[in-house]
Amino acid sequence: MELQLSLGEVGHHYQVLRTSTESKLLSERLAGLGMHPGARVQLTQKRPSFVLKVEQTEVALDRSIADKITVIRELFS
Amino acid sequence: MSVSLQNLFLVGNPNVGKSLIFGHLTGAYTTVSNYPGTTVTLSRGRLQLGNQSYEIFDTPGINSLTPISGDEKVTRDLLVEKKGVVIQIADAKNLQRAIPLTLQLQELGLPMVLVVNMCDESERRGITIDFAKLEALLGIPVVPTVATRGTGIEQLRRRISEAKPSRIEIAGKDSVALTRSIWNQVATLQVARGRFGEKVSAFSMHRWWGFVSLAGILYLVYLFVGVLGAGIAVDFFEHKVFGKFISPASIWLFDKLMPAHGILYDCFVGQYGLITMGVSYGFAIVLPIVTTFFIAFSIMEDSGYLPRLAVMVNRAFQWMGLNGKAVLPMVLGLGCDTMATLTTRILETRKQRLIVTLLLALAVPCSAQLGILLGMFGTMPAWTFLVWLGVLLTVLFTVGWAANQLIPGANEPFIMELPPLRIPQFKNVAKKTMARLEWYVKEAIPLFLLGTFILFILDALRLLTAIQRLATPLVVSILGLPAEASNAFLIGFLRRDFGATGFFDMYSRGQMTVVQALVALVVITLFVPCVANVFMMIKEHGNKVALRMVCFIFPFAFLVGGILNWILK
Repeated sequence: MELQLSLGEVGHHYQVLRTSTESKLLSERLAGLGMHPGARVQLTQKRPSFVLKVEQTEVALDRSIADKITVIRELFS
Repeated sequence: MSVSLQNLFLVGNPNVGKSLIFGHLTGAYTTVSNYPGTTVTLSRGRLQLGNQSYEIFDTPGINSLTPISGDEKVTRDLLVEKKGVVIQIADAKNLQRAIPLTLQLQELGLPMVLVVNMCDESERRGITIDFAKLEALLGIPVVPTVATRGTGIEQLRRRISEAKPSRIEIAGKDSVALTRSIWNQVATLQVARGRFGEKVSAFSMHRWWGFVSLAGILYLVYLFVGVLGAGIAVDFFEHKVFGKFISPASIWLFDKLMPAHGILYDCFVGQYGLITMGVSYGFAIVLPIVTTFFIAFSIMEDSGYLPRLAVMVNRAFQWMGLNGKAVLPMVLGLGCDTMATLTTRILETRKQRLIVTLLLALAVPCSAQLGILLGMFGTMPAWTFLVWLGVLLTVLFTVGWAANQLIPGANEPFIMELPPLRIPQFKNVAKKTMARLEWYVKEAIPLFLLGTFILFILDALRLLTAIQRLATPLVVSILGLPAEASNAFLIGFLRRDFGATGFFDMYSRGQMTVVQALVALVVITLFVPCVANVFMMIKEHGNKVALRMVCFIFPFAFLVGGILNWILK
């Protein structure tokens, strides 16, 4: 069941399926931060910004970007 | 006799530091921009290593060699046609992204070297890479580097001649599984950071607790910079070092050299003397405050707190057309607006740089200002401080919002990496503080001397009193202040604290009421902080823009002061 990251729930783990951005640069930037297709992330916060745990780092992003990331829920981390 | 020209290609994923390494190798500084993927044209340069000359090609960042997009096709075609040595540059903390590319490059059969860059960042995240093992597995030289510091570049230069085709076995194997296998063999992760670090990180960005922790941190900074720096240290330098030693000694010296006390005497040790005023101001008053601020700031930087602060203020900043990233110059502005204006370069769009520059000059008081202001507010009723703060914040957000509407351009989306929180390391903090102090002494202090000199000239030419007479009607009627205040405003621009202490004197002698003092302080806070800041604005944005900003700021400050005066009456 795919969903947009912006609709995810705090604490859940997800796997990134694709990042649908019109701007290739944004996709590159996300991939450079570890958010490439196949990457495993955990959503740790939604306010005041979205914060994801990606490997050893955390990444903060706006809702508008979380809207563009398609993920699927992982039931075990 | 030199061998014929060989080709050298820099290949790698986007944002790994290719351009920076290109600059190191060719000796020419290629502009490294923060906006990802900007190397869209091919840059070429020359490298001489011993007898061998190389033509270096910097290629666009690519993730694979399968010719899907233009960039990938261009790079692949280039490698196939021209042949030569391939230097693949990888991001140490994202090695898994680089290895698939290495495997694809291997298919081309070209001699290779793998550079693993940004090792400082991977180390910070607790990732350790066994470079020798990686070299053995891939069969090509592997060089760790930190391009931003120039570490490893020498080693790279030496090992280019060792480049050879990779001999890793990939026949029939799944690239993803192979990547994982290689990575597992060479990288080890320290998970010591774990739970506690995450909890603290979450706490610092929590909807409510985040602000509580911010308030706590601000208080600590106030104690360190305001009390230790502005209070104790300044006191020591101003009164003991300069007051008892340097100033009297200089005066004594000049008394001996120029007993006639002519104009040159005044220039150095007179009322607006370069030594008695300029140097003492720069070193005795501003430097201790700014040093403590830089230390506090470097601690916040090294601990990883600043990006979390960016998360907290992001929403508010977006209202002004900025995003959380702007937190760096805005907070730095509390230390030194001039340096902060220089830092606006890290912002992605010109619009953001303009807005931040304007807000810095208008509504962000620098540490020198703050130190004196807070000292003054200490003697005034508590409500005055709250009003001052309220006016400042209102001005900040209102002007920011207005600037956002008036300047064309869309908001930039906020993405920021949050490095793990850690105990700040002394040597990093020391290094960053020293770097900033060095800049400060070299750039800002000469401008203070220049400002003092200008004051001296104005005074010597009797222009000082003339300007005061011109400004007086405005000061008296709009701001409701006594005529002497105009003197303090004028001096305050060129020498921050004299302006504020001028008001302080007037207030404590009963020449100004509480309301008047408050109005005066608000206006002087809104003024452009100092001469150095104006010069930096010109340097960053050009004469016209700087002029427009200044022409807006001063009248606006008077306007706000006038309104405040009218309300409080």
